Amino acid sequence: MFAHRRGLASVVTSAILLSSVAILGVGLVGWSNSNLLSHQQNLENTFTQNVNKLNEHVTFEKVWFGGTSPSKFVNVTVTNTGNVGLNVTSIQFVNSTTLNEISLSAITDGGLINSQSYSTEINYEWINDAEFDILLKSYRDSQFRTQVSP
Amino acid sequence: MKNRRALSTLVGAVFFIIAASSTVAYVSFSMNVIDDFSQAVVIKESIDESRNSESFIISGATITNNKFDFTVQNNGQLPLKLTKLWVENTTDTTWIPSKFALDQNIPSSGSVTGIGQNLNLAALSTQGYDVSLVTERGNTQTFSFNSVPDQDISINLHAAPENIANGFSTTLFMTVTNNLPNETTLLNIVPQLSSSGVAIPTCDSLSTPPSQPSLKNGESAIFTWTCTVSGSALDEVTFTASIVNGFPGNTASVTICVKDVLLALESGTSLESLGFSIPAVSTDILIIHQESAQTPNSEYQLSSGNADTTGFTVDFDTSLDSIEFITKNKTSTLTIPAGNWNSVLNYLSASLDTGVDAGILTSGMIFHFEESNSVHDNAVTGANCLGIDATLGTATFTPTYSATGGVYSSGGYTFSGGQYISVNLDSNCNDFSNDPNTTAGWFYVDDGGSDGDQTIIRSESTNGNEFYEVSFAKSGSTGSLEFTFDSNTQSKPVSCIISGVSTDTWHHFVAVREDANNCTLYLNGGASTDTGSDQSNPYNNHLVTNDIWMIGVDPDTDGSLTDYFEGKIDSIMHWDSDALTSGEVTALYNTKYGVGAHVVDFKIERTDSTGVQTPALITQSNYELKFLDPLQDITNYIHAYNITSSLPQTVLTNERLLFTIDFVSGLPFGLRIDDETLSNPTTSYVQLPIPDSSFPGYFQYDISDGNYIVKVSNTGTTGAFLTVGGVRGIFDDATSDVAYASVVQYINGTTSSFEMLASQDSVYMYPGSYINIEFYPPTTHPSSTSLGTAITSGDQYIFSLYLSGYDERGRTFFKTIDIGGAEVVD
Repeated sequence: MFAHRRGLASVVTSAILLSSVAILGVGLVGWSNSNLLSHQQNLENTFTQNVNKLNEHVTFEKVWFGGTSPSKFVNVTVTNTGNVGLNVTSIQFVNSTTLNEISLSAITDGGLINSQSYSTEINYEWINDAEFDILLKSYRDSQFRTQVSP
Repeated sequence: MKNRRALSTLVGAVFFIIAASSTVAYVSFSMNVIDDFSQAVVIKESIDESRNSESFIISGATITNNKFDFTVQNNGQLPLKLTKLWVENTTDTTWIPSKFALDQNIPSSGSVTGIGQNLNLAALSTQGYDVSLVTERGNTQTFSFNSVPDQDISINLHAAPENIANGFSTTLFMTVTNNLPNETTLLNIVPQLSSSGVAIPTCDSLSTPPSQPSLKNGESAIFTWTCTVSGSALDEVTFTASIVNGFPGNTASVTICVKDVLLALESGTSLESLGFSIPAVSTDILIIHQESAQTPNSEYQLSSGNADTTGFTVDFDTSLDSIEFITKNKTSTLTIPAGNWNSVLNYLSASLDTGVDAGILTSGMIFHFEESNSVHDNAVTGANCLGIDATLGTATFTPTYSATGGVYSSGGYTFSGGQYISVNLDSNCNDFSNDPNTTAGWFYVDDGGSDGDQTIIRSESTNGNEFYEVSFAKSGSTGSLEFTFDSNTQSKPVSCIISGVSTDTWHHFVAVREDANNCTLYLNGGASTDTGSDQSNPYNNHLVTNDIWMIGVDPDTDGSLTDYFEGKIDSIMHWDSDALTSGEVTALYNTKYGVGAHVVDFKIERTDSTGVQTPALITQSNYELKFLDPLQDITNYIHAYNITSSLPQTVLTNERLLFTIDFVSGLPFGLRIDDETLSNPTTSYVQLPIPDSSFPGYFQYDISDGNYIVKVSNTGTTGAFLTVGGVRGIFDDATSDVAYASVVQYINGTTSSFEMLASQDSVYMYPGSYINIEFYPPTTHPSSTSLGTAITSGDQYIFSLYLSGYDERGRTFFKTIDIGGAEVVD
């Protein structure tokens, strides 16, 4: 009487096992792929940022001093000589010796494509023969520095 | 159960494959990213290396067609492209730096010229510029063009030699080194030379070379000038060299001294360094000589020969006084090109018109302010007045001088309210201890000045109560001229006042203090007059003030300066013990202490050989000569004034030029002629446009006479001897390459005792003495036996004397005296 119930239990067990494995496997693979994709994206972003940052280059083309007290100014002209566009975010005047900040000018219109120049006048009561550094920062946190003397 | 085992494996294998594939993909991606990043780094490094290896210089820079013309040399291994040019004017600070676009490729080791020629930018050779070139890779180089950055560079100036004889040359060497601390290259370095001093230099107009196109850091350039220096012994000239648009004060100097060979300790040096002497007078200069021999009607000789050392003064006092000077005629044609003929007259004006009391010249003060000095000497020659000076106020109290700002375009001072001139007071010269006194002067009140009292001249006691003053009380465009004096005893001033005196015009005042009680004030020669009298104060003649006069301010000795004058004051004169009459006042007013002090008629005529005149080349009637202040020395001829005439081309054939000056009116003056001792200015002369041949002189040699005699004076303070080998007479034929010379036979005698031999020198020449030198006939081979070819007749010769020997201290000397044009007759 019990000889015919043996075939049905195996099938069900197999089905359950198969389903479980499949579900687990799919989930695992899915998670794995998702994880890999995320890392891949991060890696790509990091690479792009670093490469772009690496390719940023700015030249201080011309710095000249004008005006009379109390309206003296420094005119700074920079050129994007790198391979990528960049965004100038600030121009800082720094004491060459102490490295203390003298003045900070935030730049809001400093977007430069390749070979494009940007000029700005910064009010500063410069003193003849008193050198100082000009520090330019980009959106990608690149810094470019030069020393000038009126 | 046999079937379950196979299915699980399959499923597991599938999942394994999927997982492995994902992992492999991720790893591959990561590796690619790393590889890309590495390549990006490599590319970046390559770009940076290219940028750093870029190298160029401006190898040449000049201005062509009023534009920059740069030559750029690519010194790097890579081709480069110039994209921008920045130009900043360092001379004109109002100039805003300008940017110009370029598109210029330069291959490696190549160069390109003409950069800047196509730009819309004019360049001035008188301005300095900072020029920046920018490449496509972002490299920038800045150069200084026609200027030096804001600091000194090394400049040295040397002369070889530094001591020279009159009329000889020296070479100036200017060395410029770019020793700037940074790598700045200087472009277009242009040297410039200036001089100051008593000796007169004539230098090359441009240095050799005229400029240095490029001077890199550490490099040097040398510029040279050749200068001829003229002057009397011990006269000096200081040369100062600098760079055009250089840093202010960045100069180098050297001083050249003229040594009189007759007196020089360095005579030996002079002999070594000198070659042929240069004539002291050029062919366009004709000296007025005091001799009248060989002139048709006893006119003074006018020739190119050296002036004498004695000099002569021609006095012009009355309308009867006149001077004529005439050239020698020349048989060949002489052409004078069109241009200005300048008669340069060295003279001194008389201090006073003959119609004015001369007592001031003994005791008084005269200040005409003809020169810009901080201290002016009193022009009164009386011994008691030699120490009287007019001293300008210092710093903000200094009035402004102008060489033509005084009355009649003379020198004078402008007072802007707050300036003054002080004069010390001497009891024997310019005080008020006794009457009468007279004070005179010229004044010009500025209409724009402040209303109120303005002091022209004042002297007062310590408490201010005792005073002597001439002042102007301004009210708008007019005012009152006031003369007031008061002694302290009674405080009762005596005043003379003239009202309605206009501003913005020159006026002359004469204030006379006749005695304790009376004054007279004259305006403009008596056009307005006022008298004043106060009998109630008998003590006004005992006026005692501080030891000072003040011009332009009330000294207010017990307080601060007040009543400042605003305008001009000139020609202050004070008679210590004289009262001018009305006639003298008029004569003084009519004396122009400026242009017009002397009025002459001037004429240039051509005459035939006998002096018969043809219609005048030019006549200038009533020509006004300027007042030349003799100050305290009426023999110190340190001023000259020109009569300039513009004439067309003039051709003379056996004709003479006759110059005539007739005195018409004005102050007397003394014209100095034939005086070699004068150097700055020189003795009176005429300068013409350079003729095509030299004017003939008055020296004449008659071939039939055989020997000839020349008279020479020893003008130094040292006695000397002449040697037989050092005395020659030279006739240079100006129309050919031939010259003739004579050796000396006798000096100061004709017997064997005076013969010049190798074993017998000349007699001793005392300082200031004359000697007669007798020469053998001139030939092309000078000798005592007439070797060579004898001289032929003609008027084309230039005659010079060469003298050498030794002085009383044993020092050698030599000197050349240029007699000028000479005629040889037969």
